[in-house]
Amino acid sequence: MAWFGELWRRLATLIRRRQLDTDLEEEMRLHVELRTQQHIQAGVLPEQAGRVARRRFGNVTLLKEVSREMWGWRWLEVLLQDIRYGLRMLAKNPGVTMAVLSSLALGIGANTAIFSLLNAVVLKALPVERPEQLVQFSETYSQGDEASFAATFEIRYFGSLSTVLDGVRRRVWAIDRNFPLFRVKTLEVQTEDSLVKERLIATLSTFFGVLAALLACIGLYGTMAYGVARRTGEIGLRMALGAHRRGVIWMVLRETVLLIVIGILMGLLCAVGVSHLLASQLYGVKPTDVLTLSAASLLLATVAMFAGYVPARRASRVDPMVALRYE
Amino acid sequence: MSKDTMRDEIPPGTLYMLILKTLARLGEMHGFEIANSIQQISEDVLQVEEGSLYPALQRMLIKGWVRAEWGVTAGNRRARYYKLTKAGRKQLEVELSQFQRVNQAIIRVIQTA
Repeated sequence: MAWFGELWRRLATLIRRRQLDTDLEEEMRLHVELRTQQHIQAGVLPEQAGRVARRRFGNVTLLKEVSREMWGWRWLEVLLQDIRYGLRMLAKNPGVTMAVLSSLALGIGANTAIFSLLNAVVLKALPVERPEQLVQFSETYSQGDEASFAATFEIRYFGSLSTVLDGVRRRVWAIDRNFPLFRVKTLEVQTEDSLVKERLIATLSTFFGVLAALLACIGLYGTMAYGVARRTGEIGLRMALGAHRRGVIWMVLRETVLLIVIGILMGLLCAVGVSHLLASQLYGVKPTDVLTLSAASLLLATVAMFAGYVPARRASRVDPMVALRYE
Repeated sequence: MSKDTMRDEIPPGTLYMLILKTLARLGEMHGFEIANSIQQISEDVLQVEEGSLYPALQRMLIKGWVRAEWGVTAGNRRARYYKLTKAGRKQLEVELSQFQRVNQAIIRVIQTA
């Protein structure tokens, strides 16, 4: 149970952090003052005593920082700082940011919607219980050339189909010898036959979906690469001021991750919206398919990371003097 | 400050043990008293790098080895007093036995001719 207490105390530092900061400050101030007094009593000149005490204590700012690290929330502070900084950088390039976000959102949204639909129409079984047990009897009456109507009924059967059919025929024909019972199909075959057109459309939309995904990737890559390349001058300045290559690349990647997170959220909203629209037209289609959503997000996220990393690496390799003059 | 006695930085990793032991012996103390006490008892050989006491105390608070309460000093100043907990006492034993084991091993190594 020791870890529980520790976790609890850690959480408490998160809530009471301002109080803890002032506590720490007061405590350290008292220490230096008491030490100064001690020196003065030992005969050291007051101004010198203060200086000696402070030197002996060490770097107060640094020590406060190290103390805060002991509370174990340093990663959270760094994360929040990165997010704030990233958002500020994204706001500085609103055009590129908007373009990237809409590529991500549309790419994820449209593809998820299309593939969820496809999955429901083509790949999944019928939306009834045990469709393989259903068999359909239907007969089309034709009167002249145009007017026609159909009599259809379905039964659920167990065991051998031919035995069941014989039984049904015998019973029905015992009542009405003229009742037509000829076009007998299992429901699965019947659905296959009647959905040919829909499946064609679905296959076509898959094709276009893949095409759309591809275009979204290309567009995303182009926009991101342009956005980073445009900052070559800024990157040169950072490196001239002493930033490391790795630091610069991470900076770009952090912003990319931020973009991806926002883009995926927007894409999710998009997907839910479009799928609801489609689902309202079709029976049994689940609005959003988690698998498709993850696949689309993963694809675009990978492309985006790549699109951030490659130009950032290139820009960080440029000689700062050249980069500074980059237009 | 006298420069005639050599002052040694305490070996890394032993600060927690020193603080725990000091609190175990003397009860409630504030930071300055802990630093002073370690120095005096070691006859000024061990010098706690005074500031580093405070990050260590923060970690010990999180770990639950010590408890802290604000009180008033003899000189009528507000100070944070630290007190050993049961977990702290147990930790002290762990650190002491570990330290002794390592120390004896080192001594054996350097005394082997």
